[in-house]
Amino acid sequence: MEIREKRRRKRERILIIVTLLVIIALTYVGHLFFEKQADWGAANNIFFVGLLNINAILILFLIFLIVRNVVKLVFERRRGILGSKLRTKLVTAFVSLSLIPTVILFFVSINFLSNSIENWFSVKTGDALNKTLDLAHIHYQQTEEQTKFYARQIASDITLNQLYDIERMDFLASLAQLKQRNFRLGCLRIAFDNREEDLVFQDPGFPGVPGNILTARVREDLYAGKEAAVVRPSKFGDLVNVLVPVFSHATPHEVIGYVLIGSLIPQNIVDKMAVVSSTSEAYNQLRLFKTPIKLSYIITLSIVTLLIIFSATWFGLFLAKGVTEPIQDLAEATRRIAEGDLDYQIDIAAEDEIGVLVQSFNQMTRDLKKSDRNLQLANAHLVERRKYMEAVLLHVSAGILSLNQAGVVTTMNRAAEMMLGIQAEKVLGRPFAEPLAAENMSAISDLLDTVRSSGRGVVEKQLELLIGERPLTVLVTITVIHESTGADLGMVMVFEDLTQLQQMERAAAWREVARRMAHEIKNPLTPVQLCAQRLQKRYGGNLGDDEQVFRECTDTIINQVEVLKNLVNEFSRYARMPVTTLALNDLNQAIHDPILLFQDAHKDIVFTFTPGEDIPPLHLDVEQIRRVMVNLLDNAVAAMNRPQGQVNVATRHDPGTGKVRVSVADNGCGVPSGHTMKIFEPYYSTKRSGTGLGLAIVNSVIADHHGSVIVQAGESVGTVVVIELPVPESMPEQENGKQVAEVQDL
Amino acid sequence: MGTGRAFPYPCLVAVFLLFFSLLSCAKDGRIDEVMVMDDTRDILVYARAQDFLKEGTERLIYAGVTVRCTFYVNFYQKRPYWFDRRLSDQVVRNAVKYDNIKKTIYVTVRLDEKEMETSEFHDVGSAEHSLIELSGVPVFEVGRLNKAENYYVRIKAKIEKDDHSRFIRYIMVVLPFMESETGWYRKEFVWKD
Repeated sequence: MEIREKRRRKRERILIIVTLLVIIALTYVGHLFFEKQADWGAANNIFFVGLLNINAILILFLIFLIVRNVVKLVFERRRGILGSKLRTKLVTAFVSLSLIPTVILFFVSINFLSNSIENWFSVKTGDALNKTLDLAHIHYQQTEEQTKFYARQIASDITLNQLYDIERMDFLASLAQLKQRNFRLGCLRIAFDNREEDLVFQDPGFPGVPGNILTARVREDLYAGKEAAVVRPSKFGDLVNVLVPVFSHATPHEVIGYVLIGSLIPQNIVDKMAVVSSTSEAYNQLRLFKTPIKLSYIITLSIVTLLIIFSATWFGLFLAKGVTEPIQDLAEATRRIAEGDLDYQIDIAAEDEIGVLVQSFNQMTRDLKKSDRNLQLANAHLVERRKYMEAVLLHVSAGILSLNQAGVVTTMNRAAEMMLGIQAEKVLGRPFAEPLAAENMSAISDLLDTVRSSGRGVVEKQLELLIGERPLTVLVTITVIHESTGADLGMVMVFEDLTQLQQMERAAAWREVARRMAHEIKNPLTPVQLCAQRLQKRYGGNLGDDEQVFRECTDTIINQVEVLKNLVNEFSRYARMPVTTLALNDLNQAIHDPILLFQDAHKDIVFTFTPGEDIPPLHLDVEQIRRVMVNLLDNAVAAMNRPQGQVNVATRHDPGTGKVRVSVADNGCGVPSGHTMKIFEPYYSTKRSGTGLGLAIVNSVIADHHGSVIVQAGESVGTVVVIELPVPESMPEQENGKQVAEVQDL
Repeated sequence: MGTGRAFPYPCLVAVFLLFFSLLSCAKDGRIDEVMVMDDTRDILVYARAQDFLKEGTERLIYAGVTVRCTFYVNFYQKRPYWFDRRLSDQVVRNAVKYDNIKKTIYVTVRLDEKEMETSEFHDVGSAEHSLIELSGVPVFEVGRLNKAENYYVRIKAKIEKDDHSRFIRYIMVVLPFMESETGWYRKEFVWKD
């Protein structure tokens, strides 16, 4: 659209220039034609009319083009197109500057011209010319009248004296010669009808009477009794030839001949009179053409005036366009650049200030584009780094959480989510305290206060947190972040899960204690038991009445030693926990066997097992898992305090977390609140006869399987122990499916 | 604005040209009283142009402008089934000129640029009458005509002003419209000598 409009305007501009040039050229041709061409034939007239017509058409065309441009400008101004107001002002200024002087000059010229033309035809000049012309005419008339007078006298003498008779011809010749001399006639010719030869007398310097004077019309007049006069030019001047009829004496009305007298008006007089004549002619013609001449001047002036006005208008339009078009282009370019098109360049080739402005603008656009590209690159780099950091944060095992100065969470990685049991999207952009439980928050708040008050910038502390029902031991490191200028940017909190490590350390410690205790206690027990047995054998039958007391005491010693031995053996077994050997096995099968054993042993309790259908093979030590199940079921049975006891075991695969959950739920007495943190510790038991090692062993075995154990309260009564075991990550789908099928067959 | 159809400038120019051409080619006047005779030697043509002189011609004559009336006389032999043969073409130029000293109007007749006759008049009516008259112009020799053949004469007249006038150039804009021209008049005859 833009390009089409530009092309159209360029075409129009060329058209106007060509039209102007053609008008000037045709006017010049017309002028030459006037000057050089004397003989105006029909073809020339048509050519001239054609020229005039073409000029008129071209002027009309020029007017049309310019008026069209002006109208367009008015419409553009009404529509509020950018630059139209400035263009209107410029065009108005140009038109005013040219219109006012041109119009004034036009009217002054017309007035001056009219006055001048009127002055040409002043009464005095006209009268003088007419009088001069009359004088010349009178001179001719007098010459003619005088010549006629002489001719009449001669003709009268001839008639009265009958000199036309042949006998009196000599008298006639004498008379004619006498008269020619006396009257100083240039030429005298006397002709009679009855004579073949005429009498001719003339001055030696007289040019002679031309032969073509006696035309049919003159002859007709002559023989009708009329006098005639014929003026003919000659090389010596104008010849005034007068013819007077000669009547018969006997018949007075009969013309029998004529007298011709030729008088010469000298050439110098004729020339002077010719000048007067031509001047008078010119004057008369000028007066005749006064109105057309005035009109032609007015037309010429009008055309010139119109040409000047329209040229100025067009030049104003052209100049205004030259100024406003770059402004429009600049505005358009600004709009495009504001819209983000930094490739846009203004295509104007100008040498003036506008050109400098356009060049600067284009340079600015190029610089902007370069900066934008650099910015994009930097941004991409930043995004890449951010993604990398996010990936690092995602895969790091420690939980990382960052806060800004206001304590609002800005970053939280997946490890932190899992560790703290909260979802990042619910926390990000919110104050840190909101999602955490009050008891946890108080511990962390203390740390935050410490880091703020200490001024060290880093605080590290191990905390015991309770996330839901799950105890968590974490090492919390809080670091205050500072900008290079020292401005506070917030804090970074790093959570390291020490629960498993702590459990393992504790288990190892307890095992060592158990091993030492077993070793230290077991050694003296056997001599004690042997001594008691020996005492019983040696003195049992010799004590009489005291024998029963003695036997009871030694039996008690022996039995208690046995109990102690059993206890020590338990310790020994705990201390000598076998190394867990993991292999891909069916979890359901491993669980199913202990349940069957317990069902057989405890008929009054209902054992149910709901195996998950899509449980993949897991890395399991089947014997250890059975041991875990035995401990858990043993605890469940021990917790039964009602006749309709029920133990429900279920397995379930959670693909989202990549874990398999085993839940053992009973409807027993449950775990008292506040004990959930301690029940996995060795030698902690709520049972009177318990060793406190069952759940410690469970916890140890599951930790060896990289899983976790959670003890929760039941929905209404009892306890639910949930074991989470990881699904191997590199488990092929086909193999997985096959294993599942095998499990289902079982 | 740029999407509309282009203005038909060539059509506009063509209309103007046609209009002005028609104006400049206007015809008026007619050839009348045409007679074809012979004087045993030549075929003589007589004719008169009617309704021909424009108003103001008298003023032009008295102002000293030479007014010309040119007769174009063509003589053809008619031929069946073929183009007619042109036997002769004559141009007779009658010119009227007023002598303001002698108060006399001269009418000069020229046949093919050769002066044939000059007549003097003292009244402009007679001079005008003589100006538009074609009086016995010989167009072809009688002896070269074939008996019982068809012949015809074509005549056209045209009034022109003297362009030598020093001021006439100023009114050239209106001059073509002051001139006039008749159409061609045709007179046929059969030679029966």
